[in-house]
Amino acid sequence: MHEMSAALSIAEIISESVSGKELGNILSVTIDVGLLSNISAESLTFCFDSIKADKPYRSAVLLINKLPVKISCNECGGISTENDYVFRCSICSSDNISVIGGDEFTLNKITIEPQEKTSWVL
Amino acid sequence: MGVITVERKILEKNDVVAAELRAEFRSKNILAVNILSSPGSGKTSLIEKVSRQLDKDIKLSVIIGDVQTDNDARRIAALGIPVVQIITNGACHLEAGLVRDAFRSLKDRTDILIIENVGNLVCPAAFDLGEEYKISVISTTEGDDKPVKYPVAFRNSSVMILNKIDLLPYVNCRPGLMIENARSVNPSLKVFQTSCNTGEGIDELCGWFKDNLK
Repeated sequence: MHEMSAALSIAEIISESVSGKELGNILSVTIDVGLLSNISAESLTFCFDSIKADKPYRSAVLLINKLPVKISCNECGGISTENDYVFRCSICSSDNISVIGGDEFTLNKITIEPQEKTSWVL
Repeated sequence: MGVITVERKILEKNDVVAAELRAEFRSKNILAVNILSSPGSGKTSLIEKVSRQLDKDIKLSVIIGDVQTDNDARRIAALGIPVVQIITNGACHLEAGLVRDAFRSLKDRTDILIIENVGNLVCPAAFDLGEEYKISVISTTEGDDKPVKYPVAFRNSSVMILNKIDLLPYVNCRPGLMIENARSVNPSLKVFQTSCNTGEGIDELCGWFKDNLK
């Protein structure tokens, strides 16, 4: 359950991003999770939900973009994507490839309700 | 609606520490490896065997992660090898900060640092520890399809050790298929077949360590 460590890191990044700012409620936190990051979106949501329960952003939703494996073929030069753990070119089937995406695990943005202002102390 | 653009790697704190450790290992000519496997594949036995058969002038140190007990560290310490046990108290993997603290407490000069991760092929694959190479261990009592069941661990590894090959007559393991499965996720994987009972393959594994020393 390494997703708990990851969810704690998300909470830390949220704190660092909003602390001391006059902002409305946090509506959502958007993250990218590549297939090769070995992070389970379901476990991560579960862990984030238990962490946020005693935070001012307890109603914030974790929005997860699941990203495929992105493959650049060293034989045919094609770029293809795979939603499974297949490490070959889907155009020419060569296994002489470079993985150029799929290990993403990034917090992209925090979406804030515009109206009410809360002074965040985290 | 307001948006705060963040664009930060979620595990960046781990990655920063791992990058610092990697730079330190390289500057001190230390070959650091991170060994991953399921529980019971023989990681500690392999370290014991390698330590006995490595040339005596090559200095080895070990950091071991376990959920509980210092049993493994006591086995390694009994061989006179500097070792630090990390007890994770339930956590399923090691993180770079834990390895840094453990490494700081090792006082002896070392040529090879072996980090034995917590027995688990899922979580440890997500955390960079500053190692030069990951080594995945799989044993003949495990399923032939294990490499494709845990593809990220095998994809990220440079070496796979197929251990317990002395048991081949008694188990339904097809080593060729296991290796083929592993190479389907990682064609460049270097494979060793070993037995800690008979000692088969240990010399070849020691040779790999020697070849990769700075």
